[in-house]
Amino acid sequence: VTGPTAPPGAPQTRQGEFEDFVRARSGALCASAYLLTGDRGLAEDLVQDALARTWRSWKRLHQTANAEAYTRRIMYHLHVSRWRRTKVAEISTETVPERAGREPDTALRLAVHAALLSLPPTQRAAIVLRYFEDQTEVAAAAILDCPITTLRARVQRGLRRLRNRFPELVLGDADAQLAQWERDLNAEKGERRA
Amino acid sequence: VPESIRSLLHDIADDGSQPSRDLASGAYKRARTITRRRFAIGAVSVVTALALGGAGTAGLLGRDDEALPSPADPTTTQEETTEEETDEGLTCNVSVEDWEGLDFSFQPRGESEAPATLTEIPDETLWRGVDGDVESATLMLSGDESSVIDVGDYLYYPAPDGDRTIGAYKPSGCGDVYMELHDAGAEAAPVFSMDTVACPITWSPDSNKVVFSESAGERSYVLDVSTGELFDLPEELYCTAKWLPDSERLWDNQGNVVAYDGSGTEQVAVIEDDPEEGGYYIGSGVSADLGEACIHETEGDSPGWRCDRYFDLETGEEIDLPVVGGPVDGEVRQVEFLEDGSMLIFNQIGSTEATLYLVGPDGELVDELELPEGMIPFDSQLELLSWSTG
Repeated sequence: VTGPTAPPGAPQTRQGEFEDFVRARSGALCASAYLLTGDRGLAEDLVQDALARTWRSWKRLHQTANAEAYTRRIMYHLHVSRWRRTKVAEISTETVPERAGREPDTALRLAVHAALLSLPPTQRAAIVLRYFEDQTEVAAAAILDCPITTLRARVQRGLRRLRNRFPELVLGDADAQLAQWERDLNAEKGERRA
Repeated sequence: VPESIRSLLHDIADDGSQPSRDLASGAYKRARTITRRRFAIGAVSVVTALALGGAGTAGLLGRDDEALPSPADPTTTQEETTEEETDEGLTCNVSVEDWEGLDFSFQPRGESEAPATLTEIPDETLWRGVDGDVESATLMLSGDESSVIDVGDYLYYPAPDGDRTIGAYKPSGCGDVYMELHDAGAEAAPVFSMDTVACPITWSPDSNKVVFSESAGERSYVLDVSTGELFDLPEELYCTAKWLPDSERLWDNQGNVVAYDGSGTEQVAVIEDDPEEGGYYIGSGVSADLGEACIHETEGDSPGWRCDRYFDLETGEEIDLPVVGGPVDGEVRQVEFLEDGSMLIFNQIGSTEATLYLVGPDGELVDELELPEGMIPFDSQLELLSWSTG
């Protein structure tokens, strides 16, 4: 692998700062991207595209320390946009083979990842933001540019699908949240009937 | 053994957390490609005869956002998600490619009136001021008075005839931009919504056609407002399509010329990037007869379509611009070529002096206008977006 080559004319200090940022944060970004895409190559493509946009805005971003938030936001938007047209990550849970000889926990990880990838991209992104990145509802909604109610609905639907597929899955505090949502929904339906 | 969703996600993500390639290097290359294809935010370009006169302008400036039709109909973008919704893909980002599935067609508006030939500097002009951080504001200059028109949640892209306008509703709940078409005195019509994208939305000089882009799929389209027809442009014109003065053809920043229906690619000569010099060369304008062209030199984000070098395409030689001459350090030029062979030349010196010249087909000075003192926002460069021919 050869070293980075900045566009001619780019000041060395800006380039150095950007490369420090990439070194420090690309692992975390790739991890999220891998959850979203299910493929290491696609994940790196996604992160690279987001970083390209970050580099173009680096002069503005590095002064305000917003580079990571900006990159993350761009990455999620690119992911959702790409999926709509290409559906590169459309993987049915039914297509995941039961691989003989796999350790049980590995098999479960594969199956859960496949189930995650089978969700619509907006639901998948909402779950990754909330339960992998531990973003608050407000922060996750801001990253996805949607109202909090929409974010909640996406998380709720995604978790319900995962739960239906894997009843043994422990959702932790999401369990309580999901139960509360169910109660709210049932109450609302009751009010409508009344 | 039951496992928590959190620990499982972290275990899965570990498999993808070590990048196998040099992402910074790839990002630089990708950024270069993006810069070629997508100019900076605010570089809404070069429509050669936009007009802001009459009821259209008045309607724009006096418009109350609350009075506009809801972006939710028919392409719901704002409503809170409800339990009954099952397919989020249809409630956000309704692409023009989905029109058929939604049984939506654009109603033809008929031909606009032909734009008048410029014989003097127009009374009304539209500008964009972009500062060093690529923040922008849209300003209208009417006589000696300038005013900022980026107000509320809509951005406006007025057509040359002053009647038609594309309104872009920004704060959709789905992260997209909702577009609608306004006619003076007629009800606004929903058009489409699309992913947020920093590509130019430009009207043809005859006000009958508009170019817009969708980042999903990376396509640019021409909507013929007069007939309701929609055309998909070739890939090389994504985010780069500029109208030629005849309203019939478009070209990209690398010299490809196509008819507005996407047919008949033709190549005009532009200079190649010089790796020794660094930076990118971008075709920023071409005359109606394809005889002369402007080149913009940039190292990355650009505040607009600039004419840094001017070429005779027949001989390949660099030539001086009429009236203002050859390149001068500290001066920024923009050229708008008109269908009759004349041109508008904008020349800005620092942050204080800016002049707009109307130059005739033979290079003679026809009229000039010094922009009012104080119109240039602090540390900004101005870009001429459009002008009234009414």
